[in-house]
Amino acid sequence: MNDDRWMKWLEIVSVIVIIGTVAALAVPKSGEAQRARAAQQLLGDVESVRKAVFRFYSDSAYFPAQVTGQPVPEALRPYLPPGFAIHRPYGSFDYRQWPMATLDTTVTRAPNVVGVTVTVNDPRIGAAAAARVQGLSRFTIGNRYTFIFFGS
Amino acid sequence: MPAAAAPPPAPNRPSRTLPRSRVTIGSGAGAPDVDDIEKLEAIRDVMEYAAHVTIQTALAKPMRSYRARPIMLGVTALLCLALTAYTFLSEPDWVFGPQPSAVTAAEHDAHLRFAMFLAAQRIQSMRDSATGAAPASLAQIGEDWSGLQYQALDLGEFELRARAADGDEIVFKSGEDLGALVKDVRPWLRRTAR
Repeated sequence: MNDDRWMKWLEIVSVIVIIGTVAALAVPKSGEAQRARAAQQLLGDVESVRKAVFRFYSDSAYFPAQVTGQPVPEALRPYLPPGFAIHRPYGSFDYRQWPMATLDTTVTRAPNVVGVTVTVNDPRIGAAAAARVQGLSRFTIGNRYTFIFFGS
Repeated sequence: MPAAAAPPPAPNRPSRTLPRSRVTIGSGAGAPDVDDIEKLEAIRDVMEYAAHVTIQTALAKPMRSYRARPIMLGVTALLCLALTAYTFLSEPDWVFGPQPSAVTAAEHDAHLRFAMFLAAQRIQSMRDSATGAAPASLAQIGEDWSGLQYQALDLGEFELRARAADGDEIVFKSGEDLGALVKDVRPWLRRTAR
């Protein structure tokens, strides 16, 4: 009888542990799914900026210059999707254009390096985006993820 | 050819469509009325159902309890505990997603060198196109990368410093070969999957 009681308690505790494990794994997994969605959105926005930059280039034959104090230069805005916001729930965008004063063909064959820097609120979103990005060079410093469109 | 059958006799019980007044069946005193019949039918239905349930309950087999069940559950629970401990200690990608800190030292250094390269290019570009002086700070030219230190020297010269992952210092002085700074960087910029 006493043995049965112990067995019953063992079963109850075991079931509680199994349910707890499922819950404990579900919570971070759910967070990861949210970050994956944010990363996908980030990459979609990066692609929007990239398309805008190249549409600008096809109209103007040069890349818009980076303007200090303007995350996205005014000249580029008409090429962005309507309502495109620089500040996003996951972070904010900065258009980047580096003139190559010293053209070094081992690194870049172009007179410019053009890209966008995304400062993410949660570095895990940036890491998820960096793990998913395809076809673009990128580099990461801290929580700033820079995606290169042209020149590297 | 048989003759046409005679119409059936009228039913000896009242139709359900009749108004629910106290309709008597048959004639004479003591004949049951419709309400009594319905009550009796309802009681019969209940009794039949009770008998059915009683029989089914009696026939039901008691749930077999395996002696090994608590042990199997216990082992499963222990495995679950081990899985939970492993998950929260090692934080695998399949639960927590890619870790920002999982960047290798070589990748970290390559990215740092490329940021230094771009910052140096902008500083040189600004210096060559403007007053000939290097900017006072990296923030002035929008190149304030974390971990990157800048010092403007005399005569437009400048120096960039950053701390590599192994603790060594990466130093670039204006006039040095920028290509050497980013010699092996390119593969790390294209690297996506870890």
